[in-house]
Amino acid sequence: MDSLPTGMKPSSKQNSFIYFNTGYSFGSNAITNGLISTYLSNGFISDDIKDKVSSNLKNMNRLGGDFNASLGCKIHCDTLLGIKNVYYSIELKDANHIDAGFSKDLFEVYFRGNANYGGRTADFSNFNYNLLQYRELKLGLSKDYKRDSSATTVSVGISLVNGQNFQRIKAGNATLYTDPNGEFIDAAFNMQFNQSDSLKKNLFASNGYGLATDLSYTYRNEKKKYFISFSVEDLGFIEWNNHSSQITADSSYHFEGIVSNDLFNFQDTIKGKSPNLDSVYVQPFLNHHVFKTYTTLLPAIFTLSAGKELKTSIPGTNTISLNVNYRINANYIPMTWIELSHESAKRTIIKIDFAYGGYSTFFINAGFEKKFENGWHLSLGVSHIYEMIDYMNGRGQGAFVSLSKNI
Amino acid sequence: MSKLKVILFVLLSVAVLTTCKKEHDRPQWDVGVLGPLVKGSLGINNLINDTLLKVNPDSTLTLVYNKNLYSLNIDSLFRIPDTTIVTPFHLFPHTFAPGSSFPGLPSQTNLAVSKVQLRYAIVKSGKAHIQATNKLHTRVYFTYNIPKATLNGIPFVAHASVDSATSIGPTVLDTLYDLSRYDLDLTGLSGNAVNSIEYSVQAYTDSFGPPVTVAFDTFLVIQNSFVGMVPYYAKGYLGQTTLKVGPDSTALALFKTIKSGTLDLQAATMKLSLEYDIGMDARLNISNIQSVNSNTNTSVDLIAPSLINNTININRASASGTNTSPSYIPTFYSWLINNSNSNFKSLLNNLPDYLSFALSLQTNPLGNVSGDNDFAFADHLVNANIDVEIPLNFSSNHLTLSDTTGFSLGSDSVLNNLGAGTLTFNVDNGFPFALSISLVAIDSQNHFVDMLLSSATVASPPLDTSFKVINKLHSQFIIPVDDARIEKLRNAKRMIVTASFTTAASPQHVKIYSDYSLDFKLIADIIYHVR
Repeated sequence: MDSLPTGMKPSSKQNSFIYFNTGYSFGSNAITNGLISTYLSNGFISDDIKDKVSSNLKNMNRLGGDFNASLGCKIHCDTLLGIKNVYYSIELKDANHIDAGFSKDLFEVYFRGNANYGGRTADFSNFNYNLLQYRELKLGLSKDYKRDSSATTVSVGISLVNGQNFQRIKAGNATLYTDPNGEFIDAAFNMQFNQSDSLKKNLFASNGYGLATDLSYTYRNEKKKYFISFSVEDLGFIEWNNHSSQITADSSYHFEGIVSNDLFNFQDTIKGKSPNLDSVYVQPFLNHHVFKTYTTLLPAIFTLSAGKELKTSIPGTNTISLNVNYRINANYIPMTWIELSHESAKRTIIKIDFAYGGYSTFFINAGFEKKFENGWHLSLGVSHIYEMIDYMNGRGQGAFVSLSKNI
Repeated sequence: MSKLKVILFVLLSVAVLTTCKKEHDRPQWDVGVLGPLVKGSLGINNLINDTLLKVNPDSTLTLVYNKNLYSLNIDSLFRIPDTTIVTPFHLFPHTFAPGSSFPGLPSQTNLAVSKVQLRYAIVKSGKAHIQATNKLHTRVYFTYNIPKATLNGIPFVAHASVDSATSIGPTVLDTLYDLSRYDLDLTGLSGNAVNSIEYSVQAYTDSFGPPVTVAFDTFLVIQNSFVGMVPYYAKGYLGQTTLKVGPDSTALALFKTIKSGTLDLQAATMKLSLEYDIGMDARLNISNIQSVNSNTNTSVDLIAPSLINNTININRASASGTNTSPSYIPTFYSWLINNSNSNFKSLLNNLPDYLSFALSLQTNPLGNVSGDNDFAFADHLVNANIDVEIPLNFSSNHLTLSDTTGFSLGSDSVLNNLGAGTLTFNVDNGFPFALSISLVAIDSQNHFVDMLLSSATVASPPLDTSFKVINKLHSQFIIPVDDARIEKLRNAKRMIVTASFTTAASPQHVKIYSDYSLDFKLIADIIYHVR
């Protein structure tokens, strides 16, 4: 849910409640849903699928995705530690995040090969890839400060983070030159590869621990019908254990073919050399492989919002808000979106967002909320609506569902 | 709540349908790969086994080829056949008290050795096979002595016993004694005989056994067989005989792979060497040496008056060492055959795959002039070797070599994922000849599978006025590859490689220098199926 606009999240509750949220999102400025779904379903990636991606590619590109689920409760206390009108919350969260930044050349060489790069240098510089899976136990406090015409809510939370899986590839300078006639290939790499304990990847793997915090501030002016808010989520770190590996590779290599001085011994020349490729041709790149503990930052999200209730002839409450967020260390560009919200007298809320940025470009989200009389509250949302319709060509997708019950 | 259930069901169904469709184990796509696969630089030592090459001071090369032409086997001189000595014991009807003895007198037997008169031998291998048959109803002990068979000065003695006969019949003892490294004095009882072995047998009944009565019959037989006797060394008179050898042949690996074409060598020499290790005079006559090309079914006789049909007296090797630890000093002979005294070059121009020869060796042509002091070591008799030297200075015209080498794509995942494209073969030829190459893939039943190259020509580089290569010449040929060809090659098990050489400026001879080389590179511009 991290990359979803905050407007897509369930609206704040006034009472004690328990809740369950889950959702996923994917976005890219170039990679299409068609390629992702074909890749994940182990299908054949045709030239047509690649062509659609290629038409979107810039010099540098990005993609990212999340799948999160959380279960928690928020309890209202009249007084807690002497403070009046306080909420405390407990939440278990399972977070899965992936992002990458890559050049046009990297995509083209990876999916089409280097044959089109004869006489040219393919530039893979600044490629980076992050995969992060972790769980959190969040404990939070929030307090409302109410005055005659305004209300301020301040929330603070702290999380114990259990790191499960981490992979990172970070390239500095990385190029591949192919001779026009294929006589030789020149490769230059400056890369670092990090990975948590590769032997422990199961559902309950625990490969590191860390801390994180959530903060939010909201000011609502009931008289002038506007609000502003600021929040930060998952600002923290994980320290991975000493079974984590780090490989650095900094080398340049000129390849003119496997050397053989037995022209017509096909058995050895063609086949016999391949088992040695790892040691002979790969190992020189991997010049430093160590197991060590290291610390990584979580891809925290900072969000700033401002909204105002509209005076219209449409019955119910109609609100417009302007929002911007940014995610650190995650190949993310600032995302801005305008959200229009309509709440009917029957406690049904419909929302629509017009957004640009994040991992994707321009996209539209839609949400629906229903507050039932018996205390149940259902929220549904779909992001990248157009991309979900034109699925194969779309560059993003996402959906979430939230269910809560007042207690 | 019913609406909520419907929504949840729809969401779950969408999730299952979109995530569980797996066409393969991994995603697949095609990439175009352009790059070098294999490269190499072949010197002459890659084309010809470098142990055969000698670099001359001027960097030219000479091909040196050694081959054992003929080795004499000891069986050709003499052999010691298996010989059996039977010693029976029989008396008139009599009752033996316990511990009765049956002394045997020293005797001798002749080894059935033909042609030669041996006085002394050292055994390389052989056994004494002693069988004792006892008809007495008591245990019998016996001792078998061969006093002139000694190991480190100790005579051969076999002590054994054979069990009492039973009601069913006699009891038989069967034992083997190793005679390896034994010295054999073959002069018999008198000390003047030849090929004779002295022996004696004593027997007696068990001192604690019962008295036994015998009828008029043989009651004990002790039999000794000399089995598989092979001498390490033999001394005596080795006889006067004529050993005829051949027509025999020896394969020549040098030209084995050449199938057709012509070769004209500028020069060639052959040294025939003879190491003679026998302590016996002889006369050698080589009646014929012939080069045979079984591909063209042509043969060329060696014409060399100094060697062919010329009787050559061979002096005996000299004895050295001691009587019990003999040694020898061989005599050596050699004959140099070259352009000026033979037609040897023509023999090689015939591209022989084997040499045929016939010779005779007359032993002791003047009789027993050594006074029974001829000697022979079984493993060192006569060795005839040829040393061929061919300066790599020649002209060739479509000299075609063909060989078969293993080839299998098998289950190699990299090669199996190749798709359509081309394999480009770049060759930079630094040898003074043009090369035409064909590659034919065949299956395990030798059936044609595919032709990868058909007479692809590597052009000859330019030569200077001394017919030396000025610089390498580039040639390129392209092998188209597609899925169908890959599928064909998957069934291939071997590759027939045929290369045809034609020297530049033929029929002018060209020299091969040690720094000549042929560089090659195989480049792929091909679709690769990522799986």
